[in-house]
Parts: sequence; structure tokens; C-alpha cells
Amino acid sequence: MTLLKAEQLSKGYHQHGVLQPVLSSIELDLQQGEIVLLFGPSGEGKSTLLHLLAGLIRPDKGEIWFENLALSRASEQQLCQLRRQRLALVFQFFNLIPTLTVAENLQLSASLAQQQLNSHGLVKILKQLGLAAKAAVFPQRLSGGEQQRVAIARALVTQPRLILADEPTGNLDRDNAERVMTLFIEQVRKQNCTLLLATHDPTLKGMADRCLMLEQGVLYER
Amino acid sequence: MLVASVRSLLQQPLQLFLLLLGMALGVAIVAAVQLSTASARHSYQAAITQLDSGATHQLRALAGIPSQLYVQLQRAPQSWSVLPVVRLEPQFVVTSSQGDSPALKLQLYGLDLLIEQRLRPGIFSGMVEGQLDWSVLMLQPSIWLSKQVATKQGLTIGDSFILHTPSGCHSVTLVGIFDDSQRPELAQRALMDIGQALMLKRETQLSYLDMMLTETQAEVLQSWLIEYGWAERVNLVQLEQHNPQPLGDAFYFNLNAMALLALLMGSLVVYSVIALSLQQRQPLFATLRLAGVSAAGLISGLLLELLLLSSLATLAGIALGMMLAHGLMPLLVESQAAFSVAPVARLHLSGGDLLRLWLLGSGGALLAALWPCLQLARCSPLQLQQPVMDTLQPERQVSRWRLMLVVMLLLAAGLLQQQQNLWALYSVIAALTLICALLLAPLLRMLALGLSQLLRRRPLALMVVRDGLRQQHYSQGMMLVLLLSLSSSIAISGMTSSFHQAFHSWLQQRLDAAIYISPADNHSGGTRHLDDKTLQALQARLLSSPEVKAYDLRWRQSLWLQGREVSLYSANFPQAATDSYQFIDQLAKVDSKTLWQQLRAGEGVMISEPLAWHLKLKAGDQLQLGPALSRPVLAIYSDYGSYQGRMLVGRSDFQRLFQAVPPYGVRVWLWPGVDAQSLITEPGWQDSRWQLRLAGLILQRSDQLFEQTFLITDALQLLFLLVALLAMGTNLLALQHHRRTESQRYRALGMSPALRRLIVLGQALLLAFSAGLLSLILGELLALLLTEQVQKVAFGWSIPWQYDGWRSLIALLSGMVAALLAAWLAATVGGKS
Repeated sequence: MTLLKAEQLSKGYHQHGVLQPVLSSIELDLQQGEIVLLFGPSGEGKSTLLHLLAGLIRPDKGEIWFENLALSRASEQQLCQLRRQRLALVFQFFNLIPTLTVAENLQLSASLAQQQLNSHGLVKILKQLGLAAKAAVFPQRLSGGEQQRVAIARALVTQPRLILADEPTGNLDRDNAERVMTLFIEQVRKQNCTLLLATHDPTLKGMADRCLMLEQGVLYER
Repeated sequence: MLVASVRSLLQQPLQLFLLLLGMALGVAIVAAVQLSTASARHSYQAAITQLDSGATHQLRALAGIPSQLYVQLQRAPQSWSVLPVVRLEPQFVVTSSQGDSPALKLQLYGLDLLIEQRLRPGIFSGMVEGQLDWSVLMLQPSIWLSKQVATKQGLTIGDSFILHTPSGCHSVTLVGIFDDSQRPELAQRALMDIGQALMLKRETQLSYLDMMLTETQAEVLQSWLIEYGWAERVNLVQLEQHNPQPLGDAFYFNLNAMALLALLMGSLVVYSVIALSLQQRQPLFATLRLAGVSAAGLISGLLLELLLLSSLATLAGIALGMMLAHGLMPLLVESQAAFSVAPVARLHLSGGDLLRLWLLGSGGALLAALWPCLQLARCSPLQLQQPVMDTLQPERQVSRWRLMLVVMLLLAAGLLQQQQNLWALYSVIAALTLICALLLAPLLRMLALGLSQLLRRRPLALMVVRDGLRQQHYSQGMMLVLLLSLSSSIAISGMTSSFHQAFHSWLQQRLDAAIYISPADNHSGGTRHLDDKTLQALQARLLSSPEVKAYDLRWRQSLWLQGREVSLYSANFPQAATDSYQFIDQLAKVDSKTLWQQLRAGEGVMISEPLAWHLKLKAGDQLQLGPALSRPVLAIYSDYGSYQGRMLVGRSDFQRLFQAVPPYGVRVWLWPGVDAQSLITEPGWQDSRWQLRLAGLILQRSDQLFEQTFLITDALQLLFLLVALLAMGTNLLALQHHRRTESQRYRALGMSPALRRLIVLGQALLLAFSAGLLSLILGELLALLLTEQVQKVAFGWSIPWQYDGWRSLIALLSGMVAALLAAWLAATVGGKS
């Protein structure tokens, strides 16, 4: 079942008054429950594509359908609702709320999604990601790997249909990166949610259902 | 380097705009106050001082100078230079000969033209038309006008026109026009011969005598005055040292203090915007430092850039200030009317004023920017390459203990000074303000901790609360602005309302009689008296009215006591008149009734609180009233009528001092149930020789005068609330800018723009609430100090501080509304940018 479909997607940025195209005529289908890796050299538009799919920016041309919602025509309120309940983002630099503890970061996402997160559920998800002992700790007191695991837990806590991850291990060392990715993929599989993961790490290929390549603004299967 | 830095700044037009606006508004308010008060002072000085420079002393008396004194002085062998002056208050309206020009108020001076021309010919040497033709003085009333007035009224030499005075309408002829182009203070003057002025004024007393004396001559004159029995009736005042308007000075001092507060808030705007601007240009500075630019070179470049910008902003501020000053002038004139000060002729801006304002604006901006610039200088090139310039964060910048030490020193300095020192009180005020400023962060932390416990299960609210503790660089700037504006607003309104309340209830008590009668035509300044015929007629009227329960004649004269001009009052003091006096200090073991009996019998005097304060007197002390007249102080009574001081003496003492001075007024008490208003409309009560005033109307007029006085203060409070709003908005906008990546994070989490705006509003509310709470305490403390201490030291009267819950609530609410408005603006503008 198609969860997300992008048709003829184009996006460019103005530089010194001249439009520089970044993505041109992108076609993309994401099925429910599949894990898709997005490869491509730096600066080729992977982050831009993820931001378009999350409704953070609007395409110049084309349309993105998330289930039955056309993102380019959706209101800001609808897009916010989408990001609260059906879609989650994981970033390279974690983007945790520094003034909230680990548990409170998760509770914030749940409350935005208007979901009840009881202490049992909270402990369960923290345990799954090896963070049970860190529930009351503020993000700045965690290591990079721990922070990324919190970011993943935050993304999973609302049980979204789609997770968009932008180089989540790009800021971690090899060992930590491997550990984090294994946990991440494991939880995604458990929840049967879709994952589109932008990465440079070729070792992850074995965990994915599909791999895509974005080069010179064009997306193709690899 | 400067070009790169400025170009980088130009890439942030909003900040540049805020920077310039902050500086310009701060300078504008200072400029407006400086210009309007300087103009008012200029006009005032011009009005009170002699027509031309030269006079060193003046002989004055409350009741005017008797002509005999002038004659005696002229005949004295010492050959003093004496110039008699008759001044008529600006009640005179001139109407042009054509009758189509608008009427104009003029200050009329009567001068002895012969003596003036000989001793100080300045005014007549500037005659542009006409001349001093003595023959015209014999024909009919003649007048000299300024060129400006003559042109405005369409009058030429030889024209006759109507001059309205309180004594009636007079036809006068224009015989001369003098040049006022170099001396604007002369524009609103009209000059005439002293004899003719006395005729218009319908009296024989001169207003004052200008004198040109050396110090030795002044001493000789003082002895002469004592020898000839004039010393107790007239005062020799040295013009340079005489300060006739301490109340006016205090009023100007308050205005300037408020304006400087606005400049301080403007500086806070500059501070936050500069700090933000430096953060944004950090990569550029890193590159410059790596390329070999020294820290000192970087700082000097930045300060030069700021000097250029601040000069621009200051000029804009001065222009804006001039416009504001034009708006403030009518309010200032209204306020000044309460002090009987001459009207302001025109806006007065000198080169010195301009330079001072430029120095103030640019200096303030440079000072405000110095701290962030110095912090920048401390960073190594490698530190500057860090993604976030945490080194510029203030958490570690403010060495609280060091500041606390300064505060304690200020406080100690204040307390160690003798209590009768205004500067000691001001240093206590400054120390209290600094302490509260230092308490802002701990209070916010405490509030945030408390709220965090309450909101444990609400992560969004928790985030809002804890966010308030971050980037205190900006949040404290906003809180400081709010603290300053709210506390000063509470303090000033606390002081004025306490003063108003005390003054109102004092006057209400003191106006115990139903009707107050004084001589008519009391327009000429000085004291008018009820002449014998008028007094007889009036007494006959009062004795024949069965409605009158009692009446009391009142006498008044001035006396020079230890360098102060004190008003002496005397009356028969019937029982009805004495109940309204509240004693602050009185002779021990003597009841009030006995004290009043002693006063009537001439066994002592009663003095007002301001007089006791300034002369450091207490009940029982001996007071030297004249060469051979010493009396004990029986009691000290509460009085807000005069800061110079007043004294009550018995009839016998008054007569001994001033011989046969006629009374100046009558107080009338009516039987219960008699309506004073309808009584005075009955035939026989109204008479052209006297005027009747009801106690209620006097009270009403006094209240009006009081409110009039503080009109300008209210207007300025509003103005600097505007600057505070801007300052808060800038700080919040800078905070928003600093957190813009976080805003994107919130967006990624699905927070709508409304929710993100709500977060900013929530944070602002928390900051405003913390600052507001502290402002309430600080404001009331300052109000207490201003009311009970500063007023006492400055004027000598005790005013009880009155707490008003509404005042605090309104201030707190207005502060929070202003903070919310600023936050809404910041969230909207910040969101768009």
C-alpha cells in the first residue's frame, strides 16, 4: 500500500538573483512498512528532498501525496498536524529540546500528537533503546550516541506512519553509529512504520528494502 | 575592515533599523525634555532678572516697595545706583489699531526712563524706530513695544491702540519699537514710564528696586536699611545667589531624571542589538582575526562604526526631540503656570545644547556597546570560530559579587552621609535599583523552579518555563527595562498621589472657614491690602449678616530669617481657626488650647514644618525675629502651603514688627445650615472693592493646579513606556533571532505558528511577571523614599506614604500587556524574518 507518493517534484533556490535548481522532476513511491535508503553526494539535495516530504518547505513544481493529503496545497495547520501524528523526523544533530529531560522530550512529542504516554509505555520505549537509566537526565549531559537514541525514541513514541531520517549517524563514531542504526531499524520493523533514511554509509544497505540514489537533482533506484 | 563590517551589518536591515531607532528615541526624549526645559528656564530667567544686565542686587518685599524708600535711597549720601521697576503680571492684552489682529498677552514694565537711559541704556540703544521723546509722556499713556509684537499687531509709531488691564481699558500710543531679534526674551515685553504704569496698576508701591552695588556697597546698604528701620520690611537679595524657584528646580530635576531613564533604556536597546549583531558577524570577525587583525584593531573599528551610526541616530533623535518638544511645550507651560512662571516664548536650542545632546547620545551608545565589544576582544580567533559564540553569553559575564560589592558601597555611602543630603538619598535609590536588578535572575530561577514542580506533567509548559532561564543575555535585558520603567512609574505615581492626598486633606482641613475675602484687583503680584474704607464697609456687611457666626482678619508680611524669606501671618485666631492646625512638635506639658492663648498673648510663635526643618528648630527654641525681639517656638505645625516657611505670630508682635500694616484678607465662618453659595449672591455681599472665594472653590482650583503641574510628568511617563516597549521588543526579537534554529526544530515537531508564538508569549509573560513582582517592591520602596525622605530633605515637609493596591495592580498589568505586545511583535517579525 502506497504511503507517500511524489510526482514531478522540482525545487530550486535563488542565489544572487539566479534560480539554482536542486531537484528536478523527482518521482517517488514509499510503501507502508518499507525501509528505504537515500544515497547521494553532499549538497545534491537529500536534505531538501526530506524537508519537502515533511512539508517543511513547498515544492516549486509537482505534488506530494501523503496518503490522501496533497502537501503542496495543505495549510500550515494541516502540515503541523501531519508532523505531530503521522510523520517524524530524525536529524544529524539530534535537535532535542535542551530544557527538557529525556522523558520530558518524549512526553512533549506524545502530548503534541495528543497521545497518552503513561509511565509504563515510557519506560518500555526507553528500555528498548537502552535509555532506562537516563529518563531524568537533560540532553546536554548525554553522549552523542545517547542523544541520537533519544531522538529516535522521540520519533517512535508517537508511532508515526513515516520516519524521515537525515544522516542520523553522521555525527557519531563507527561503533556508536552501528549500535544506534541497529536499534533504530529494529524498532522501525517492530512498529511496521516506513523509514526513508538519507545516509552516506554503504554498510546499511543490508538492512534496507530499497536503495535510492540522488545525483545532480535526479532520483533513481540503485 | 570597516567596510566589511558595515556591509555585514547592512545585511541585517531590521537590526540596523532597531539600533538606530533605539538610539534615536532615547536621544529624542532627552532632547525634548532638555530643549523644552531649557527654553522654559531661559524665558523664566529672562522674566525674573532685570531687563538688561548690570543689576547685582534687588530690594524686594512681599507687599511691594514703598515709594518713600526709593526717595530716601536717592537722597542718601552714598549715591547708590537705584533703578525702580513696576512689573505687572502678564495680564495685559493688546489689541491692534485695526482690531483684526489676534489679542496678545504682554508683560508690562514700568521704568524710570531717565535713570534707565543713564544707568543701563542697552534696551534703548536697540531702538529701531521712534525715540525717547519726553514730551509724549506728558500727553497721554505711551508705550514701547518689541518689533515682533508691533509687526504682528500691525502697529506703527504714532498708532493708538487699546490696552486691557485689570483696572480697565486704556488708550495708549506707540512711541517706540525696540529690536528683539538678538534677545527673544524681550519679545513679550512692553515698556512704559513708571508713573504711567503705577497709574495703570492703581497703586503707589514699586515692584522692586534694581541696584548696582559692589559687595562693600551692599554691606553698607544693609546697615543703612537696619538704621532706617527698613530691614524688617524689605530684603536685599544678591541676584546671582538668589534662587527663587526651588520647587521649579525640583520639577526640572524630575523631568531630567525621567529623560535620562529613557536614554538608559535606549542604551539597553543598543546593548542587546549590538550583542546580537556581533554574534551574527562572528564568522567575519574570526576571519579578520585569523588574517592578522588585532583585537584592539577590531574593537576600534567596531567603535568607529558605532560612532558613525550613533551620530546619525543622534541627529535623527535631536530632530525628533525638537518635534516632541513642540508637543511638550503646551504641557510644560500648563505645568509652569502652577509656579507662576512666565510663558515660554520660543524653543531655545543653542550650539552648546546640540553638542551636549550629541555627546550624550553617542556617548551612551558607545558605553552600551563597550561591554559586548570587550567580550569580543577577549575571544581568541579560534574561539570565534565556534558555531555559537557562547563566550559572549552573559551568564559568566556578570560578576555578581563584584557588582554586589559596588551596590553595598553605594548603599553604605548613602547611609553614612548625613540624612539631610539629597545625594545620599539618590545613592540609596541607585543602590536599591541595582540590588533589584541583580535579584532579577535569582527570582526568575526561583519562579521557574516552583513552576516546574507544578507543571511536571505538561512538557510544553515546562519547556516555556525553563526556556526563560536560557540566554539570559536578552531575557535579563528585557526584565531590566521592565523593572526600570515599572518601578519608576510606580514610584512617581506613588509619590504624586501621596503628595496629592496629603495636600488635599491638609487644605481641606485648613480651609475651615466658609468664605475667604481678599481685596479685588489682585493681579499685580505681591500682597494687596484692604484699605481702611474697604475694611469698614466689609466689617459693616459682616456684622449686619445674621448668617455670619464669626470672622477673623488676617495680616501678612515677609521677614528675612537666616537667609530665608519667611511669610509671617497674624490674626486674632478665634477657636474656629485653630482647630485645623496639626502640631508635629509642641512645648511639653502644654495643651493646644494654652499654646494658642500664648500665641495670642505674644508669648511665642508657631512655625511651619518646612521652616523648622530648614532652620533646624524644635519647639522651645528661641527665634530672633528682629533686633530686639526674640520669641520661643511654641509649636511646629504641618504645612504644605510654602516650602520657604511660614510663621504665626500674635497681633502685638506683628504690630511691633510692621507697625500699621492693614490686613490682607478676612475669613468668615457661617452658622450651620447656611448655604455660602447663595449667601454671597445676596445684595451687599458682592462689591467691586473685594473678592469672595468659597472654600470649596479654592480646594477645587488647588486640585486643578496640582494636576496641571504633573501633566508633563504623565506625558513623559507615557513616552518612556514607549521606549521601554521598544527596548523589550528588541530584546525579545534578539532572543528569537538567537533561537531561530530552535524554532525550526519546533516546526519539525509539528508545532503550528500559533503555538510557536504562544511559546514566545508565555516566556515573555513569565519574564514580565518576575520583573513586575520585583518592580512592585522596588517601586513602592522608591515611592516611600521619594515621598517620606526626598520630599522632606528637598522641601522640609513630611508626607506620609500611601499604599494603593490599584496602583500596583495597574502597573503590573500594564507591564505585562506591554511585554505581551512586545513579544507578539517579536514573534511576528522574528517569525517572518
